[in-house]
Amino acid sequence: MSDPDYDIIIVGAGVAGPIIAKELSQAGAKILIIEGGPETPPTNREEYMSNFLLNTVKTPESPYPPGMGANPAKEATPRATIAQTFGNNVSPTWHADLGAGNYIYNADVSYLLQEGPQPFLSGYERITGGTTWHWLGTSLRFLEHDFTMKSTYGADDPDYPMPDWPIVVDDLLDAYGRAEHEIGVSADVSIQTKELAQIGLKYSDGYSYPMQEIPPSVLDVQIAAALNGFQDFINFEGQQVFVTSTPAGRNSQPDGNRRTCAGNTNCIPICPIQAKWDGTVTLAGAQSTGNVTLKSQCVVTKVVSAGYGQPVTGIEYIHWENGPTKITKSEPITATAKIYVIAAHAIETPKLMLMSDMGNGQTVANSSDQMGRNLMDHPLYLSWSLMPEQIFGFRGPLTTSGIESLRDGPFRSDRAAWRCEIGNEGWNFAIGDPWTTVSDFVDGKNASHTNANMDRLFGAGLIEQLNSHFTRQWRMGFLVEQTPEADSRVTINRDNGIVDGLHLPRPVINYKLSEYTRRGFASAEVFSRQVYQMLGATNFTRNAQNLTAADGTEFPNPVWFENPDRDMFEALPDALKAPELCANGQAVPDGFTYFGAGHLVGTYRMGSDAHTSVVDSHSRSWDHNNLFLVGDGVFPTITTANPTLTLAALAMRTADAIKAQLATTL
Amino acid sequence: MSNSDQKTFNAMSALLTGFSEQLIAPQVDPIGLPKLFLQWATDHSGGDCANLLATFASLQAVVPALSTDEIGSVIMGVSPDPTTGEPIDENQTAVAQAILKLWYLGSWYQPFDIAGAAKGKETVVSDQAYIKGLAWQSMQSHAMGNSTLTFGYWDKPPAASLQVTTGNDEVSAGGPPNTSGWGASA
Repeated sequence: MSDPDYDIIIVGAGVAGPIIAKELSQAGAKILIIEGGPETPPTNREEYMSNFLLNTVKTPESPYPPGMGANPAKEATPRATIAQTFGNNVSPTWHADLGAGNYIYNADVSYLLQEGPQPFLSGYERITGGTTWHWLGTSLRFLEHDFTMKSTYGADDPDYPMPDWPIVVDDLLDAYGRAEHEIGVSADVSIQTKELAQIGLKYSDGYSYPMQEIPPSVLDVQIAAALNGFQDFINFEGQQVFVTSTPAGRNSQPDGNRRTCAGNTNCIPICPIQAKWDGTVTLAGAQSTGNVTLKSQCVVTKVVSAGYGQPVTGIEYIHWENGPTKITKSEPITATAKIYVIAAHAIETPKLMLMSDMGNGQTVANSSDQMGRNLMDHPLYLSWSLMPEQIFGFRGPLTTSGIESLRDGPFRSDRAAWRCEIGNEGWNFAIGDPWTTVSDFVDGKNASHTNANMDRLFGAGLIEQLNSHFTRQWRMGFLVEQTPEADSRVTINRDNGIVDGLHLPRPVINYKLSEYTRRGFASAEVFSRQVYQMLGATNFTRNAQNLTAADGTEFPNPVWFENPDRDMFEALPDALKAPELCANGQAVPDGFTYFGAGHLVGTYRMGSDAHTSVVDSHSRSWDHNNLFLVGDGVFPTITTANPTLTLAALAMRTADAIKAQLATTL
Repeated sequence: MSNSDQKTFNAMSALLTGFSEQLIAPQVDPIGLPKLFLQWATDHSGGDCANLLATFASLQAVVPALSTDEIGSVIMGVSPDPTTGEPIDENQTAVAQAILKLWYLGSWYQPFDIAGAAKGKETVVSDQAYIKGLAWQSMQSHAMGNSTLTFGYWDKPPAASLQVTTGNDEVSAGGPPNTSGWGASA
C-alpha cells in the first residue's frame, strides 16, 4: 500500500475539527481539513454583517449562505430549516399526513425531512467556523452527576432513561481548562464555586479562567437581589437559588487581534467585531503552523472501509462551485490518511456514516446499530414578562447571567432538570421585538398581546408607550434536559427521490419529547410564576395550541404538547394561579410550546460497551480503530448545559488519544 | 421631489414620530434618510404619498390652528378631518403608518397592493435605515449589532435620558405601560 496523503484527515471545520487540528499540527502532524461550506476569510464578516442588516428576518441564520428562501434541492450545502421562520410552510393537515413521504415542513424549504411525531427545531451552519458564527458563547461545565445519571438517580429503576457516561467529571477537569483557554472564557472561579459547589461544579486545584468575568446587566442585578438565597421554590425541596454570572467565550479584554466585547446585543446572529470566539479563530491558529491544508466547498460522500474490525482506508469527496445557473461539481476525489476524524455535527456525521456502505449491506461504524439514534436538543421553554420597574433590556451581550443552582437534585429521578438563561434582549427572541410592538401601536393591532385596546399612537404618546414596554421587557429561557430515545433519530432514505443540490440523500428526522422531558416544562412554568410573584412582574407568555392558516382555519401547532402534569398545577396555592403570573393566563395550562436551542446532540454516543455505543470514551469508533467521530454527537446525555465547551474539552481528549496512536504507528 | 415636499415630509415625520425635526432631519446630514424615505414612500404608494402630504399641509393651514395632537389624530385615522367631518382617505392613513414604521424600524411595510409589490411585503430600505431606527432610541439603546458604547456599559442604566435620545422635552420616561388590561385578548 502506498503512503497515505496525510497523517490526519478531519471532516468539518466547526469547533472540534479546528481544535484537534491545532493540537496535532503543533505536534507536527500533516493534516487535511475538508469543509463542506465556503471558506470565510476575515473580510467576509462585513459581507455577512451586510446580509444581517438588510435581511427582514433577523434569525440566527440570516447573515449566512445559502439565502433564507433557497430551495434545498438546488444547494450544495443546504441549511437545516428553522421552523419558526417557515411556520407558514406547515401544511394545515401535517398531523394527519405524516409518514408515507409526507413531512411536517415542506421539502422545498426544509432540507431536513421531518417525519415527526414532533419537529426538531434546531439548525446549523455549513460554513468554515460552523455554527459558532452564531453561538451565544455560553461556556458552562457539566456537573458531577451529569456523568453518572443512571447510577445516581436511576440505579434501582430499570426504565430510567438516562445512562451513565463512560467517564466522570474528574476525567475532564484538565481538558475543560485547556478548552476554556483555547476559547478564551471570561469568568471567575471564586464566583462560580461560591454558589454552585452545592450542585457539583468542579475545577482543578488552583485553576483560574483566562479572562475576568463579564459584568452583570441591570436586569441581572435586580433579579439576583430578589431571588438570591431563596429556598422555597416548589418542587425543589429547599434547594437554594442563586443568579450567577455566566462563563462566556467573549472577550472581557483584548485577545490577540480581537477586540473587547462592546455589548452589541447581537451575539446571535452575528457579532460585528468578533469579540466572541468562533471556530475560525482556532482554525487560523492551526493553519499558522504550516501543517494544515483546508479544502472548502468539498462535501464528503463516503468513508471507505472493508468491514468491521478493519481500518478506514480513505474518504471520497466532491468539490463544488456555484456557477451562474447551476452548481458545478467535480468527479469524486479520494484522499487517504493514517487517522480519520469526522467532525460534522450530530446530523451531518450520521448522515455521512449511513451513506458509507461497505458493500456488504453494512455501513461504517455501525455494528451497534446506534448510528443516528438518540438525537437530542435542549427543548427550550421561553417565558416572557414585563417588570414593574425599568430594567433597560436590549443592551449588553444577549445574556450575562443565569440560574444554574437548580441544574441538579434528587428530582432528576423523575423529571427533567433545566438551567435558566436570563435574556438581555427584551422580547426580541420571544415575539420579534421591537418590530412586533412598534407595529402594534402604530397599526392598532395586538400581536404582542399588550395592546388589547388596539390603540393607534403617534408622537410623544407613542414614544412613552414604547419606552415603557421596551425598558421593562425581559425573558427567561429554560434549557430542558431531554432524554435520549432510540427512535428519535437521523436516517437516510435513498428511495424517496428527495436529494440536495449534489444529488445526495437528505437527513430524515424522527423526533419526540418524552414524558420525563415534558415534566421539566411543567416545573419551569411553576418556577417562573414564583419568580414573577417575587419580582412583581406580569407574565405575557403565550403557548399557542393552534396556528392559523392563510384561509383563517386553525390547525394544531406542531411545537405544542399537552401539559403532562395537571395535578402539579391544581395543587398550587391560589396566589400562584393569578392570571397575571401564568402563561396564557391559565392557572392549569393546557400545554406548552418549545423552541430549539441549536444544540444538536447524541447521534453517535460514547459508551463503555461496543454493543450499545458507537465510540469509546476517546471518541474512537469501536469498529475501526483509526476512525474518530467527534463533537457533541458523542454525548450519551445532553445535561442542562450548553454543549460547546464540553465538546471542545472532549476534542482535547481525542487529540491526546490521536497523538498517542500516531506515536505508535509512525 | 421638491424642496417644499421634503419640508412637508420632514415636518409630518417629526409630528408622527414625536422626535425633534432637528434630530431626524438635521440640516447637515451625510446619511440622508429623510430624502431616501420620501423617495421610497413616493415610489411605493401610487399617488397617495403626495396626497397625504397635501392633506397634512392643508391641516397645518386650518384657522384657527389645530394642535399637533389634532393633526396627528386625523392623519392616523383616529379622528375625522375637522374641515370635512369625515376620516381622510384610508390609503393616506396607511401610507402615514408605513412612513411611521419606516422611521422606527427602517423597514417599509407595503401598505396596499401596487404593481410589483403586494400588501405586507417588507423591505429594509438601507442598512442605515435599520441602524438609525427610532425604536432603538425610544428604548434608550442602540440597534442590535451596532453598539456605539464600550465594554460594561450594560451594568448601569442608560446615560442619556429619553428627552435626549428623542430630542423631545415633552416626553416623560418610566411611566407604567398601558397594556390595556391583561388577558383582554388571547
